[in-house]
Amino acid sequence: MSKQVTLTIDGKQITVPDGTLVADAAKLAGIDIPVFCHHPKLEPVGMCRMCLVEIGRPMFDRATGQIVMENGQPKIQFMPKLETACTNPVSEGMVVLTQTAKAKEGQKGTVEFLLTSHPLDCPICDKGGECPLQNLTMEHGPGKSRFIYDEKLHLDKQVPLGELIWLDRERCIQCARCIRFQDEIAGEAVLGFDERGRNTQIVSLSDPGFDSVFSGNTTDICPVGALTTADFRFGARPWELKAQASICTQCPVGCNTTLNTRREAKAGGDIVIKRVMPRQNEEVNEIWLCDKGRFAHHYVGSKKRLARPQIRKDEKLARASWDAATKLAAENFSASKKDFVILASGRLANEDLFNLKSLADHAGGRAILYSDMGGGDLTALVGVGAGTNLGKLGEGDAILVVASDLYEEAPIWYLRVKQAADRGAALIVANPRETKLDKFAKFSIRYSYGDEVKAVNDFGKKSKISDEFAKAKNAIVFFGSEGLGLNGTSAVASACADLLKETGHIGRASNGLIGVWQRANDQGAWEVGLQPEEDLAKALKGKAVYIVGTDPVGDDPKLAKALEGAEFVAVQDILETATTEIADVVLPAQAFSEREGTFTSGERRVQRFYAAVPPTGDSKPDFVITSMIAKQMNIVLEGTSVSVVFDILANSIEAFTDLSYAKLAEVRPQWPIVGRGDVYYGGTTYENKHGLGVQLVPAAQVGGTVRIPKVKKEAVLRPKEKELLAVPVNKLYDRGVTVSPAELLDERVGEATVSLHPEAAERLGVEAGARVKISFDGVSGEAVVKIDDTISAGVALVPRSMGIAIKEPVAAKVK
Amino acid sequence: MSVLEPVVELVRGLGQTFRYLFDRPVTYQYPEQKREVRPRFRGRHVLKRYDNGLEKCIGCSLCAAACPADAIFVEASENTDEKRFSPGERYASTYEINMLRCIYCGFCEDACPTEAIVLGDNYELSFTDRRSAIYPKEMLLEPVPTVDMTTPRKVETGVYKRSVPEMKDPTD
Amino acid sequence: MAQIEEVSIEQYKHLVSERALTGETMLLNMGPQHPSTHGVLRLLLELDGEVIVNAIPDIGFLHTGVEKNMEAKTYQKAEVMCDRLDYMNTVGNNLSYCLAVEKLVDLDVPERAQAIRVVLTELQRIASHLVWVGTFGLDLAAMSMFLYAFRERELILDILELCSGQRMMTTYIRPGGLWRDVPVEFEAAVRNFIKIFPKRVDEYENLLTKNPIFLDRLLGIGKLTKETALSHGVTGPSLRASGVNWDLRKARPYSGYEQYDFNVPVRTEGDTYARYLVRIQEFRESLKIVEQALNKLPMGPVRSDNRKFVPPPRSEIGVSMESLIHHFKLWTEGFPAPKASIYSAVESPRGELGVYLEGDGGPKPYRVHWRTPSFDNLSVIPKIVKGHLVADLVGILASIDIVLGDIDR
Repeated sequence: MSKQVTLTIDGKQITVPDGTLVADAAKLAGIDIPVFCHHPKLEPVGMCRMCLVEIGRPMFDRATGQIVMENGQPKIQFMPKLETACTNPVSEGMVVLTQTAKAKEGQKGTVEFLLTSHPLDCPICDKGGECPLQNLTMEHGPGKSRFIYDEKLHLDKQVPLGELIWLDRERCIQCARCIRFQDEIAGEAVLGFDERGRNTQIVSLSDPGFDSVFSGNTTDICPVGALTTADFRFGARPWELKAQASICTQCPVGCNTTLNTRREAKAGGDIVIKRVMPRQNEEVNEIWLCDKGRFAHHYVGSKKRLARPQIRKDEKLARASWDAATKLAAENFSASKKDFVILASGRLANEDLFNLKSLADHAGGRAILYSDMGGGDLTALVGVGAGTNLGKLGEGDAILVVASDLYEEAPIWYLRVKQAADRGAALIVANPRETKLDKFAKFSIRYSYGDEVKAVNDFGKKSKISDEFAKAKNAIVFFGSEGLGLNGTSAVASACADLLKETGHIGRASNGLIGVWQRANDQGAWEVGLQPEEDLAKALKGKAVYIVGTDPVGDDPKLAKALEGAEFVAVQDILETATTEIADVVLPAQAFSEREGTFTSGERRVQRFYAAVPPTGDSKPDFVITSMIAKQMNIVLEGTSVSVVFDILANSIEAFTDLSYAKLAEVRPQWPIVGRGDVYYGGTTYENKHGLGVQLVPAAQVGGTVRIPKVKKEAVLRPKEKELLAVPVNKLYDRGVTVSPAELLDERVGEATVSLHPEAAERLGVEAGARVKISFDGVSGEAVVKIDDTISAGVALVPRSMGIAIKEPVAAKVK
Repeated sequence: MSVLEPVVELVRGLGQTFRYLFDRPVTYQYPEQKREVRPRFRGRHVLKRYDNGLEKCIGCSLCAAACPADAIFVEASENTDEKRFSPGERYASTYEINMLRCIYCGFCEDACPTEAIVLGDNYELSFTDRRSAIYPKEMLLEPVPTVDMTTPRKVETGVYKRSVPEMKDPTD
Repeated sequence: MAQIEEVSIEQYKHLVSERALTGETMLLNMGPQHPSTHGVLRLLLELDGEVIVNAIPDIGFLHTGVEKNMEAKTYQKAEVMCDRLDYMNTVGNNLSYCLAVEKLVDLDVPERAQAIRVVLTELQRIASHLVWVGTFGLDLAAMSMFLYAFRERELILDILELCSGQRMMTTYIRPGGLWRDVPVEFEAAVRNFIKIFPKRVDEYENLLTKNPIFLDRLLGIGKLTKETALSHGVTGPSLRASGVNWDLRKARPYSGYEQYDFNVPVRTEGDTYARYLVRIQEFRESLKIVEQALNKLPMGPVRSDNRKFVPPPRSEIGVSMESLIHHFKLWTEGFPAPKASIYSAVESPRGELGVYLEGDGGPKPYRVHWRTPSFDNLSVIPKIVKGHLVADLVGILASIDIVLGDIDR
């Protein structure tokens, strides 16, 4: 228990931990001290002078060192001038006065100063309505101006800091929250101040501009409308938007979001999502979102959304009724008996996957998870214990990141791990190439592509690193799919699980294995019982296939060929894809924002999302469609209420025991306070009123011994002489089905690239930016060359989901 | 009271009305005769333009927020010098007023920071169905002063930057 | 096929006497649609021939949920709902609400605004009484009275249109003062009205006051004793005609009424005729107040300077950052009111019009309740019509001067 300090603010006595700043202490006591540059998650700077208050401390007698007493109470000595509450930590017996005439005069003066250079933009500024400057001017500022309009400073307006964020230099009040956020929290100092005095402005220090995947967060914490998103520019006023809680579906972190919707004439009278805002969940994403989650929501309202069921008649897809479509699918599935295959992906909710697995089980078919990452069964055994909070790791803890570029694969985990490292946790990054996380790592391990398991097994040998890991109080291991396919990831996961078991880091909170999956609900799919298949083409050929939420035809020509030879293909998806083009039956499904459901994050946290917009056309939720097909096959599956499906799921799967929708919707008060009337303090993140989610308990925590299954590792491919080994890497902005419709991100997505070592490039006679053709194993595609001198000379890095179907290391030819 | 008094009072009253028989009537024979409205009359809305033809409305939605009856719907869009509707960065791409919801209170006029929406003199509004009572921007915008001042149009770059003009207090 | 509800005596058993149950007395429905009930008022009459044994008012036909609606809007936006309460006294309703809001947030009102408020409120009182006297005569078959009264009322509505742009739902009085200053034609128009009106009142008196038919129909009818009036909460001219000298303008002065010299007409008979005479005299007294206020009209601003509650003048919005911010926030979010509850009443033409306002720290009122005079005045009807004829009921109802918008809200 840290040292507690008692102080009095405005006559109210409170006790707070030592080291708390006066501004935060006041907030805990329910007293609002106005701030601009102070943010509870950033280091204090005292730049804006808005939190001026009168602070008095007990007077000490210099001679004796004792407190001077007056009438039995310590004599309080007030400073002759006002002090900033954000830079002063509390001390015992401190007396703070925030409502005296002097303090009010100081606050009023500060607001007046800030408004002298502020442009008259309120009617055209996006921040109007949720603007801390407006709110604090109303509460603390003067009513009339003493400044002459013509003497206002004129600077550039609408400066693009990168194509995602606009900067308006006139509105900036130089509070440096954006610079400090990028520097302290994101770890990428891509913003800075330029010029001085009255002309101080923000500039982007990177090229491309504002090169950070956390850039959207600066618009949340900016106290004025200086930083705004290009996505939401002039979208709507905050009071015109409806807010609904949801979960981001782009990566396995499972950030809590709030979807702001509005009925628009621009959209033809439809209710559309105008913007995605973070929702506070201190155990998952705190108050942040990455740019992919923030800007890649456009697929929900895309014109390519499937709206009606379709059946193939005479080589063409024609509209059909739900009854006809589900009947046709059901007939074919029943007829195929053991040749019935369900192919589902982690894009689906837990309830959808459960119904699919139930259908497969009852029909005697097989449910396959579309993924080239294994190890989900291990996370069920030795995953992080219930009660895990990455935000609590610090001194004495260890985090190992193996084969994963967290910045590209799960940015918010990168943020949390980086902050844990800042707090003293021993971060060990094991990766074949340098990644952004290496900057914060205590130890960086470099291994060659193919030596992942060996690198993990080396922890069994005595070394400084392995000692640090072994004696850590808590240890978490992240494993990803950098340069690995299905078998590779399973092997690495197994090795990591062994390591954790050996070192005793399983079965309790903040200890265990986390898989950096490729899709949001892969963990949920594993929990429900779906597993990936190594030779997917073979598994699909000649079968009756029920493809849900995935696009194998667009991803891989081999799978396209296999599906051509399939007996029957029914596709259930939200958008038109290459797979729907070849389907026999197309079933339109609802996107996550149109219905309720749950996702299981990579930390095995089950979280609810809610319906924000009405469904597109005649689409139905995935689990309903599955239930309709099942009914036609004389199998009874719940198809009306999603919470009932969840209850059945909770009854069937041990890990989900005791969970219910009500339990998932429970909330607890969180710190810092954000949103509502406190936008000036924590930012415009939304308060979490819809549920914090519940973490599943891994088998190791339940008790008893855990047996880690051994994985038969295939032979490792090594780069051969004069040949390149193409290895898959992950990229945040890719051409995924749910990312492509967001045109704003097109520049960041860019073209397919292949990264080569300078030597390899020289050998091939290409330079950076040259177009080459890469081919392997029946796949070929065009790519743009990038030079990376941190990789080995024999490998070529090919990002997944950019049009070149790579799922594991493979020998390739580059021309 | 004497017998005559009631008669006297009756005659006095009837005489009153008889006198008015020859007095000038105060009735306006509407619709042939229409009384002119006073300068501050609050009638049908008009979206005003500047003298150079640019629209005054900057799509700020303050009128929509101020409306007690939720009668106004505004959507904003970006303005460029190539295609300029109003000075500044922002203009109203959608502007609709539901005339049946409107109570003609004039709060939108008070809330507008550019004097764009004003309540004019027309009170003769009638509709045959609810849909036609929703007036879109085209019906509300006042006509351009001359044809070459139509909006949207291309303008010199960097001239029309100020969104909120300096207004005079209303003196009428 | 629509369901036709069978109405039986069972539903009214507890309201009527036993004689009605046997069929000795007749139950007559003076239904909501009736030209003489001054709105959508339903009276269930139990008649013994022509004589009224019981009269039970049934109200609620004009209920639109004004109070609830006002609680869903900010203080500024809620004001437009006030006009639509007692639609004969729109300016008075605005005044009542604005005084309440000013009391709640402790807002000052400049002198000039107070004087103009008095002028317009008194003119509105005259207008309301004109409607009353017109419909009063109309109910009692003196049809020309109606036309003359409305001819004068046109002049007043013209003045209101000059000031605010609307004839009835003006919303001219705002918290902190007025919407805008009065136009230059205002003074001339009011002076013109002051010049011609006294003669017109004399004409009305000519027509009605000593008219034998009138006297026959009204003298001694509908006697309201002082005790009954006070126990039922009757206020306004109905109370003053029963001998109680209670006028909020004198007893609890507001908006500077204490500076003006006027009398409060009081009579002791308490019958319909007395109520008529009181209101006729009120015409003259109100005109006195208007003239005094107009003569005294001080120069100065018409809106409070307190920018935290009152939007700034238009000329400042384009050049002052603070003004633009305050303008923006006041029109979109509104001002927050402290956690307090107040009651503030004015003297409307019908009686004490009070509004109870409870703030909860936010921009919307937590509770708005209107203590409306017509509601309490109506409650005395069953008592005073007992034993009178149906024809007398018309006269009594008209003399109590109810407006259903006031009763039902």
